[in-house]
Amino acid sequence: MRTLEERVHRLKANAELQRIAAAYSGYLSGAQYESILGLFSSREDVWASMPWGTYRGQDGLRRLYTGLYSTLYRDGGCLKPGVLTVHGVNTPVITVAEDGKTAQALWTSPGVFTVEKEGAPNGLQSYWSWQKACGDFVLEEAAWKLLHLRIAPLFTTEFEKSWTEEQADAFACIPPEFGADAPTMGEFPPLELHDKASVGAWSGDPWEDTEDARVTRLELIAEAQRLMGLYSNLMTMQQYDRIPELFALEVPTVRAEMFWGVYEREESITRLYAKLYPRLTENAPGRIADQVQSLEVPVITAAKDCQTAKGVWVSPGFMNIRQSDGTLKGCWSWQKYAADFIRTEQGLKIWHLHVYGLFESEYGSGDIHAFGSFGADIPPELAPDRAPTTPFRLSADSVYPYEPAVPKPYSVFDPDYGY
Amino acid sequence: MEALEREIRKLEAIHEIQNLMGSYSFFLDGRKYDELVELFSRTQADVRVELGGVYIGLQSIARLYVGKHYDQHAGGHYPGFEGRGIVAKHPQNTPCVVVGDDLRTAKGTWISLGFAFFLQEGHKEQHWGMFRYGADFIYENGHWKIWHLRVYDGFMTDGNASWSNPRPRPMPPEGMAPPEGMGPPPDRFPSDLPPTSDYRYDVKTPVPYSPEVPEPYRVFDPARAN
Repeated sequence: MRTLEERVHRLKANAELQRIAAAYSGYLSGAQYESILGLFSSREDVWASMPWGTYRGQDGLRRLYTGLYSTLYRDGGCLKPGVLTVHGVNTPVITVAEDGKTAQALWTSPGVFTVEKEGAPNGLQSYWSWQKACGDFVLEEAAWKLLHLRIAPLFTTEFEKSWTEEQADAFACIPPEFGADAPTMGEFPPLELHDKASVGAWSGDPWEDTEDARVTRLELIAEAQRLMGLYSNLMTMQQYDRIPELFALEVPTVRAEMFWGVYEREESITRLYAKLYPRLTENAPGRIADQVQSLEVPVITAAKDCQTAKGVWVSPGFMNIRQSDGTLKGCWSWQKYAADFIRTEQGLKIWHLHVYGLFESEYGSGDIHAFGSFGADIPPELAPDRAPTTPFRLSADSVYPYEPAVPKPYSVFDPDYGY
Repeated sequence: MEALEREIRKLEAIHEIQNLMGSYSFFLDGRKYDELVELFSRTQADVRVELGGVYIGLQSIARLYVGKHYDQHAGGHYPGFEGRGIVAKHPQNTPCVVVGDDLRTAKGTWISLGFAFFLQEGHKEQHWGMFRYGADFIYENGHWKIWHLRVYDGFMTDGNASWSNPRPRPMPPEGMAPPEGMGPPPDRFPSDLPPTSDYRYDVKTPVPYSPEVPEPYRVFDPARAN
């Protein structure tokens, strides 16, 4: 069993990794490339793998950040006029090794960038850019440092085109002297779903605000965030049969509410993810080829009694819909998420998941509408158990509601306020 | 205070501050303006928000959200309109939160990639926006509160035109009035001070490094306030 100090060390690692990722993003968007170098380990086996190749060692990192980026983007102390490099991070999945000396983190990175381009209007080309970012971290002299960074594009698209259209190579402008040392790194590490020890075994009197109880609540919050990050990534990777493992299937009141209905209890949740979603994503016109729903703006609260937690998120995303001519239609896809979590013998699990459709829109069409691609042709054997509880549908006459309500601090879970 | 207790308090602070900013986002987009104002300091006379102009003091902040935002972004200017067909989201990601060693203040930065849509016939508009948030926080009466909030200008696209290749905003055909209940209302809730920077994204201006990434610190430095 971990000591209180070890548990706090792990929570600190979680917070520090998120700060480092955000600092990297802030330095990048502010052309503070020397400061980015300071986030990396001083070891010689460091590397940064970009979509066009991998930069190895300290020399490689300098060639990438203070060489390539500085040449392409910076003029004096700041970015060149009109140039923009904004790559945020959300959807964290952070795992600290058992010895507390290394850690791994995965983020989704929605962003935009603008670079100089000969012949483009105003000499500039703007892009939407969604990526996955994965970092290996090491503890060096009590400070967490990046050892390996992998950036893999989900899509990079000129603003004027959908990401499903043919694109010019956005990375063709890299001068040979700043080229990479090696090809991009391969597959991302697999996702480990279970971490029974992520929340301490504390079971004392919750009304005594002991350090143990307070740390347990922080662990519950960190684990709730990790669970939802896992959910998002499993959906992206279409590993639907693994998703029910994230739920408290042994709890009779477990449920998942989609915007087309509510799936209750283990059998229905398995039906939703292991059977319906593979159908929604099969290779046929009108089906989903790819869907990414990131999660940001979390508001998460752990119960005073340390048995449950509650959280809400906004989910910016996109999807590609298969067309009858074999092409794909790229769409923005925004949702909101709310969830209750409950402690089980297998660790913290999702108890109630509620997905709120916000809008979908074919890229560039200007046609914004409520979610409608789903639910129209769900066969009876895969239908939900009951109708959705949130009737809001975005339209020209609808008044946007305040939902889900952010969770307030609470003592014991109240079923009347379940998501 | 023992070192372990100090570490726990810092972790609790980081979490509470992330919840504060998350609540800000949900309240703003959900038009819960009274609840939003509750997120700000009740004890600091210089509590402020810079969003276009600078609103100083709790009463001014209420004027900004309960007054101006309701009036201009939720259709409040037009009785009975209730903001039908308007939906906007400005969620934040990339939280970079640093708590002062004295546990009395904290600083944070965020990125917001969001949108504002107007869906009513005759007034359809679609805007995508990127802004950065920088904020200072203060611990008072057992809770963290927003002390200084500044929305750093980024860009807002108009229709399907890129931020680096903007098109002139199309004018309605001559003689066409805005649909009932629409059209920009006058600003009845001006700020106390003009904005501290005139920067807006354009193709001829370098993008400044602001807000700066907050670095670990011991005691709040007013010279570095947002």
